[in-house]
Amino acid sequence: MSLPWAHPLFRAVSGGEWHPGGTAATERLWRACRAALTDGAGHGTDDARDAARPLRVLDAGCGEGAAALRLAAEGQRVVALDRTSQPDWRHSSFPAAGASRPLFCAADIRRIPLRDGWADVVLCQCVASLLSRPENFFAEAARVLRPGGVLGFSDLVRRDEAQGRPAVCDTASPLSLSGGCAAGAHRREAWERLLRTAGFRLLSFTDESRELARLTAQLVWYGDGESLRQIGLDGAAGCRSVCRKGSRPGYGVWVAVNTRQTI
Amino acid sequence: MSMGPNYTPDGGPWRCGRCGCALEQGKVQAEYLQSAFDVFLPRCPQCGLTMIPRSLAEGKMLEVERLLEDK
Repeated sequence: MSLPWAHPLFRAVSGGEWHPGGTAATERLWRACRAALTDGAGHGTDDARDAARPLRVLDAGCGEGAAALRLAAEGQRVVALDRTSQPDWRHSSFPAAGASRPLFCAADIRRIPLRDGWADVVLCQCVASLLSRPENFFAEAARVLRPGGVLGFSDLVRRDEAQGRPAVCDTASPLSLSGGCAAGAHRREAWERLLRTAGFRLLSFTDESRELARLTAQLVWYGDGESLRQIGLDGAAGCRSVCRKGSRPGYGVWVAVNTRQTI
Repeated sequence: MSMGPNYTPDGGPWRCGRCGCALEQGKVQAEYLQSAFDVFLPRCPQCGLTMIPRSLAEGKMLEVERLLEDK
């Protein structure tokens, strides 16, 4: 059994960004975060000196780092964390002259190695559901964001009545809600409760379940029997159960602002 | 994606009903609900009429349709 995102099939289908929607979804989330800062939803952003400098961005759970590299290429100052280092962190192309390079670091996003109030934006895409205590990540995100900083967050959303529980990624069916990575999914209200508890004010929610369905469909289409079994999309506990709507998670995207007044 | 599953006819020689040509394996793109899927299928080399083998229609194609329809 492989973790879905570690499997060559998943990587070939997802195109370098290991979450539903890929690059386009990251672009949408980034634009929404930028808009939230510009609109002043992230208060304290109207200082001219602040507006001129590159934004400080934390990509929490960056995977191979494709999104971090793109943001750095557009001039942002990016720190990218993942719990395991990736070969691509070393081999990725160097930035164009004048552009910065992301600082990649292997770290637990529940213990972020950054000072309080460092970040303008924190991005976290489809990672929190893998954590045993996601509330610790939200607390850390609030700590490293400056007052008025913006969190762009996306993750799996339960659509049944059951409560989420800590993810266990080595079970028989990683993408099903009964076990595996999707076991860490929460209902929308539960995710939002975690965000509010950490001190975030919600600005928007977008249901992007279609992107998750599209990714799963691509995996089913291009995967052979063995690959699908390895990532938990085939066999007795596999696709037939994952393909039922009630047992399949949705996918949500939130933008939230850090309401803390001081660092 | 450049890769794609390969589906040959379920059995027997097949000819195009319009042109009478023998079908040949070729790459086609199936589209459904704004998603595109590459696949190698028997198709007429003259008019492009494509055969969808039963095993595909009742297998992956059905699963993918259900996923995309969110049913």
